[in-house]
Amino acid sequence: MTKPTPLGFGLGLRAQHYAEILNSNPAIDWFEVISENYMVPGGQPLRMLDAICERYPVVMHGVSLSIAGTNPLDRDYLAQLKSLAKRVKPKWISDHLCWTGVHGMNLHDLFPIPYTEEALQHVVSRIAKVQDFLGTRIAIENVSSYITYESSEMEEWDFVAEVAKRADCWLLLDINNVFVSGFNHNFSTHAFIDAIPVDRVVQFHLAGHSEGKHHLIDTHDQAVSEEVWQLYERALQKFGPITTMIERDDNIPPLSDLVAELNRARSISASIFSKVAA
Amino acid sequence: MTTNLEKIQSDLALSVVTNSMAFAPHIATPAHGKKSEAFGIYKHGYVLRLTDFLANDYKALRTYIGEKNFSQMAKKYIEAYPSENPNARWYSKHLPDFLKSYVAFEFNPEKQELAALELALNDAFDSVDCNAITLQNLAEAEQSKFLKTPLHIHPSSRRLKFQNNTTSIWSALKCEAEPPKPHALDQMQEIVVWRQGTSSRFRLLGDEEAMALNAVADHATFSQICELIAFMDGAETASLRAASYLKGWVEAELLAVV
Repeated sequence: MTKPTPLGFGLGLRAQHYAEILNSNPAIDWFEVISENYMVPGGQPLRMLDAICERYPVVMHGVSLSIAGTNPLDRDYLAQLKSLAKRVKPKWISDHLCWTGVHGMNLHDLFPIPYTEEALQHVVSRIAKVQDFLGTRIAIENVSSYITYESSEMEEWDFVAEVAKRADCWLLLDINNVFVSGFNHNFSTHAFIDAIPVDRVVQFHLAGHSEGKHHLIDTHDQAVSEEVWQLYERALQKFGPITTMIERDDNIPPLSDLVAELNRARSISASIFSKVAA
Repeated sequence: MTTNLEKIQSDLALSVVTNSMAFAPHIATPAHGKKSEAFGIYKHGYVLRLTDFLANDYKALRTYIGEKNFSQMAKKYIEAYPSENPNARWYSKHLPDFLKSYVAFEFNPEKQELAALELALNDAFDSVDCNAITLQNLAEAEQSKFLKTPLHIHPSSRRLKFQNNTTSIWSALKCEAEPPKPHALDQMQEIVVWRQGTSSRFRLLGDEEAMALNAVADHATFSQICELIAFMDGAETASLRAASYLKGWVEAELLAVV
């Protein structure tokens, strides 16, 4: 099992930045696109996507696969995903370890599941079906959560690691999600990072969160927090140079601000691996 | 047999959609705060997220009716139309229909029309791609053959009929100007909405052009369009009028190459 070659440091592609990216070819190593944003018949979104794909490596990141859902897998959605992948030729395809709806209803949220053997078998079986259909390994991302379940039988990090092993899939480790859930459920973020197998992680997500009354909320509407940068550093020390991107979905700043944040990730990584090399 | 996982997902979804705490027994005691606060993040997030989808798709309507009225309308829409599509892009598509029977807008038909216009513009924006006939295509076409060739309207095009000064309201809102007072028009206004290049546009149609464009939608030939409009008005200038419409449609990228 050979992991894909690291892509370096990327950003989430957002419509607000299309023109600037295409006019100035900024020094961004790759882009992550939200798959569903391009599951449309035509027009500007697909034209922009094609233009970006001509210039940059791209990975596809979905929010609606509902890999842990108990609805049957949505064949129409999967067909659209496969068709988009044929167009984009992504370096990999990712989605979340969550469910998004039930009974034909989509709640457009990333709901956690109880960490049970039943859920594990269910998720592993569905990942296998999706990977067979797409003809490629997918990367599964840990989510931020605000509740845990009475029925959980294991820790989230053990569940995530076991999913990757049994389903033979990649992992997208969202450092901010580890931090947010760690705070919300009072677990050790280091224990989480330590439990995740190095040979499965192909990508890191970094993002900002906001503070509620008693919880941190995964809002992606502000800069990456200092605590998340520290956790990123620790993750790099464990996992080595991993493809890294910054997710920003709301309160979207000028591209230059995001590039500056991305350069901080570059610096942290360079500092760690130059020390290792020395 | 319903599994534990199915029951949990079913119960959680029901509690989110109905804004209840019936799901609480499934939730472990939180590390901070109460179960209701932790679960409330999901319940609140559900309404907030779907309201955002609507606000993103109906910017002019939101500005026109104001934030408070928009949120109230969104709440009712969310209750009436739980999302059934994994892609948020399509969540808001029922809004114009919903507004036809939304009591709060009963005496404001321009609001429903404004929503219909925004939906048509959104749908044209990312509708299927298709090359448009160019003036050069026309110049190069063999005339006798072209006259008998069925025309095709661009697949991004949509037709609307408005009874109110909705397009003037939309145009003012688009320019961040004070919209005119709503009023009923003396005559129904026909509109075509389509995508030119990468931008959605709309145009008001006179009766004759509307009829001619209807004929294009039915794949009429240019000769047939000339005959049709000759029947409607001055036969001697029918060809000139038809040619003028044709030039306008081609310049606007309204005709498709098939």
